[in-house]
Amino acid sequence: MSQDKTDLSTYVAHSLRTPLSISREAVNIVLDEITGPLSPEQRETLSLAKENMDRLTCIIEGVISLHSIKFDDVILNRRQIDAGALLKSAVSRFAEEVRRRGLDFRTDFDISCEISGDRHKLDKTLDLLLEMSLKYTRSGHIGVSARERERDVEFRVFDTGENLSPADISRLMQSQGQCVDPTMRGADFGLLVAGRLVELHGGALRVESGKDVSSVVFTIPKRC
Amino acid sequence: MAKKVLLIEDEQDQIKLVTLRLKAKGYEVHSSTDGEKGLAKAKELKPDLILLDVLLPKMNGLEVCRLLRADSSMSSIPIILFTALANEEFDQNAKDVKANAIIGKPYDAKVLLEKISSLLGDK
Repeated sequence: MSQDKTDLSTYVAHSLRTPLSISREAVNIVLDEITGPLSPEQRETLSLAKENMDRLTCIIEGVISLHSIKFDDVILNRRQIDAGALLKSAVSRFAEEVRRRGLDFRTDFDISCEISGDRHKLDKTLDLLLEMSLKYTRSGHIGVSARERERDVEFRVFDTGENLSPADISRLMQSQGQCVDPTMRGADFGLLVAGRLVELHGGALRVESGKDVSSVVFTIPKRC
Repeated sequence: MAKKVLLIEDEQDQIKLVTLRLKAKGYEVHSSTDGEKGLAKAKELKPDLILLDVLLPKMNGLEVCRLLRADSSMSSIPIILFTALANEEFDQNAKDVKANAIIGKPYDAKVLLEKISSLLGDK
């Protein structure tokens, strides 16, 4: 994608963001019946509008995040970070929502070592992957784990949601942000942005797709 | 008695929607559309909480927050910065002006209501 086209897509994304978020909240207010009761048909029709606004919001936020990572002068504010504390904080941010959706939250990260990274961007990486798990998991569990290796720590975000296809991921990672079918999980912008954030840290992100569980696995070096 | 929330925000549509949400939860909502008017309204109203946009005409939200904190009659009012600028640098700016919380835009109404409720010590 040329720089001009990318700038245009980012400009369009930013311009759409405010009116879309206002429209979305207006629909949510009506759906929450703050303005009065709804008939089942009205609810169903508005729910369709809401679902598609949510989908559009994800795409727009993805374009904005992707642009900020690809073309800004990204400076990592690196420091030594406790890997366990990083995951603990991610779990606390999502625990309530996971419970609210009736899912189990599995954790396995009894480690005590430090990684070299930008705390804000690593929080963002975990948030993107956990949000993606929530988005695609209707039942079962989601989880996070980590294990220490010689030079890095390997993190894993896993779930029993819609299967992640390695072929889709490969296609996505090579797409350089060009539009791919946004209805596919492998085309989720969150995954692409998380991959870029991991690469910025000198790590690598891959997908493992099992019979019942899909995982996104990424590594972050212990030292610069 | 209903708790008073002052919304300082220049986007009229946003004012309408946040007002609907907060009124439905039983709050009394007042609004101002620029930083200077917001500061004057806060002095007059002494709200229980201020929801403060950052990119405001006349005086930006960070400056409004700093001035509120410097005024002993309003220094303890909880302030939520309401912004599309949320990032690490902004987090530091918010700490510098002693804001209680940041809610990023586009916002999740549930998160906003929970934050307001927790800062007001509801329930």
